[in-house]
Amino acid sequence: MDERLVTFIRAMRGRDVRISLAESIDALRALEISGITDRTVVQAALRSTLVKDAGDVPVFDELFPQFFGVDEPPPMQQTGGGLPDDAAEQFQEMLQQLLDDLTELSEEDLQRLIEALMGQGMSRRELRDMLERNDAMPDMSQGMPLSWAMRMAMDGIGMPQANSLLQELLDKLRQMGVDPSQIKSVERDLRENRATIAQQLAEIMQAEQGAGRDDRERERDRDEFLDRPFDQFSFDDVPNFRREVAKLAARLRSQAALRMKRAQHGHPDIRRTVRANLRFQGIPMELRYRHRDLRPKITVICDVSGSMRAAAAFMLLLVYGLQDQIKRTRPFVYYRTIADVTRDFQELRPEAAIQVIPDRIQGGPYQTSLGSCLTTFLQEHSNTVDRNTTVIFMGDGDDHRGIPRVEDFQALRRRAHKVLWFNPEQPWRWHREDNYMHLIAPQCDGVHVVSNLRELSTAVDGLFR
Amino acid sequence: MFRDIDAVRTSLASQKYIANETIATTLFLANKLEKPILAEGPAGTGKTELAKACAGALGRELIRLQCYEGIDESRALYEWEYAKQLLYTQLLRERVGGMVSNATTLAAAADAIAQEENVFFSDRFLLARPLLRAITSPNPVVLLIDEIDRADAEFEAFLLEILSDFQVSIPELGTIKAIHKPIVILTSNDTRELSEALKRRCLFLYVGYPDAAAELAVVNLRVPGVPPKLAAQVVEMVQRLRQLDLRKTPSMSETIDWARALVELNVRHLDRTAIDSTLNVLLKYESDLQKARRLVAPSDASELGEVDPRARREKDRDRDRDRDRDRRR
Repeated sequence: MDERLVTFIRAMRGRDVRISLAESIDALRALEISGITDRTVVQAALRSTLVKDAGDVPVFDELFPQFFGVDEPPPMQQTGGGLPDDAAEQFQEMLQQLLDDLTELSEEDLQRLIEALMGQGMSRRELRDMLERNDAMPDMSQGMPLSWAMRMAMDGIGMPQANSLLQELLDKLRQMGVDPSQIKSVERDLRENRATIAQQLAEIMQAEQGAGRDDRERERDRDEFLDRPFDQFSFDDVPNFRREVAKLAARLRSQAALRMKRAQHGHPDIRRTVRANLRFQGIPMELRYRHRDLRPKITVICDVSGSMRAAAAFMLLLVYGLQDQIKRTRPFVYYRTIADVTRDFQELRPEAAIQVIPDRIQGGPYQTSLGSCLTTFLQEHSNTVDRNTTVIFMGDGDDHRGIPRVEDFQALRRRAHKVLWFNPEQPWRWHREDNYMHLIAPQCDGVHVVSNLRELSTAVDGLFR
Repeated sequence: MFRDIDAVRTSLASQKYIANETIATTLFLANKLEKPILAEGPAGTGKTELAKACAGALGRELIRLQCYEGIDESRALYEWEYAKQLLYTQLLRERVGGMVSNATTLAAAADAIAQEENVFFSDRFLLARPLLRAITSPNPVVLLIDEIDRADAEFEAFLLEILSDFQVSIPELGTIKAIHKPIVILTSNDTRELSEALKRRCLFLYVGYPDAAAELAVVNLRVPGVPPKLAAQVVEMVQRLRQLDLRKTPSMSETIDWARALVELNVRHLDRTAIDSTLNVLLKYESDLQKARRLVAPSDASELGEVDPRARREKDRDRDRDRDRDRRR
């Protein structure tokens, strides 16, 4: 049981569920206490000790039956059931002869595989043992694609031989004059049984794939993730990286909190000083200061056109990961139109909110309209910007429908504490057609190239300095 | 202490709390492993009730710490009672004067006072807040740390010592260990990510919205005198409302409130009039109320169960939109 639990934990880790050593020990202790006779109890005990995030529950529920399932053979087609009685009898005799021959040749695994194809399914454990006996378990830790691994495994357990032996039997039936349509029904049953065995093998390989990834590999993945350009992320994948973004935000948060604690002393607070020093008979032994709230107010305006969507999503995830260090955040998204998405972020978790924001605006390919969106923003949402607000644009500076008005940027800059532009594209791409960074950049207090998460986190960290 | 998992379920049921296998197993293990439970899930699904039921089932006192933004040690753990210290200092002034009267130097006077320092930093002047009360209680208690996700990350870090070792360090008094380790239940509405360190120290329990059968059982248990047909209709309606894209999904506790309101109004079965007059108990936003009203058939449909064609069309439109979006992806 212990060994199975360890493999299960490795498989969970392989699917990016964080399980520490302490949690593994808790799981073992929980099983000692709860017992292993009731599968539902085992499942509940392991879930409460190993899974610490509701988002990981589906992974747990998917993998648990593979390791702690009843492991009964799956239902299989009874091959040959559609043959007429006399043909079925002859087919059974030939099959029995074949199985006996294989026994004499000590080909027990091939014999068992043919039995499985004929309808006596194998449990996953039985199939796994067969793979190991035939040295056919592919090394999934080297990143072998599943299709290759499947082919290796099928060859290793002798599926091609089993197929050809059964095909010979069917040829004999054909020579005996059995109706070809009835033979086809036998072939269909065999095909379905083969697919069932392949499905079982795929499940074994997937579990092995997860278990094969070691910690160093995961660490490497995380580093690679920080330096991967935003344009290599698919927008739909962004929520899957929320844990990494949360970790990044936690690091930025502790740096920001420390800096603010040091810088937060303001003028002496007479009322609090007097009250604090009552115990010293009013002699001001301990001074109290007014705390200055140094947390920035941020208005984020993100371009969510196709190429910018992933970068905008990461930006919003990171900003919302730092919420306790920010006094107020107002997020806006634009494409052809602009929309205030504050409510989405108030009601949903950030990773869920970023999925719905593209529905809040209109736009299609080559319809980015930065200029008109900025004008609309100034007309309808300028109250979200005051002299303490830092306005951050996240976009490439493209406008396919006009030229952004410099006066609008100037008006925004006059209202705001700072206007910053985060651009995921490299400067050499800024001067192409329909790009107006050369107009925008001089109107901003700072322009940062943020092509990956590492650069983005450095730029966001700058907000707290 | 709970004998086994079935005993947990039975004891909680005696407190009118219906626990599923996961809840019962987690509570049993928390008790045996002496680890806190982190109960996470949407608001109003019975996380706080679990702590109350657990305390009731074990006959223990429930000590509750409600978290909020800015909560700190002095609100959660302890505070020195300065006013009382000052009062004592004033009353004992002559006695203190007498103590130092024989001292010939300042240093000797300071030493004489220092010898009595412990008098002013003792339990007498310590104002115990919920965490310290839970640890120093002479009887075993259940400690509920409610809505931990509202507290700051710094406060979370401060809790770690208590949650792992059941002890606290007070500079003037040293380390105080728990007399009896309390059963600790932390709740979170999942409004922000909690730290890995905190999660590692707890058993995790996700408490989501119940299915129809479980919700019906809870309504029957918690709302005395509810007609069976009405209970079934209420639950069916709430389950359908949860399928809509509402600003605030109705919680389990709101289902109970709604059923209670209907019983108070002597409603025997749910019809359009009853829904119109009481739906605001269940839904808290006007836009949600409008969506819910569209879901129910117009007044000619006397009973619940018929869906307004407009609502159906809207739902179909939503579904088509989702499908289009998926296709685009």
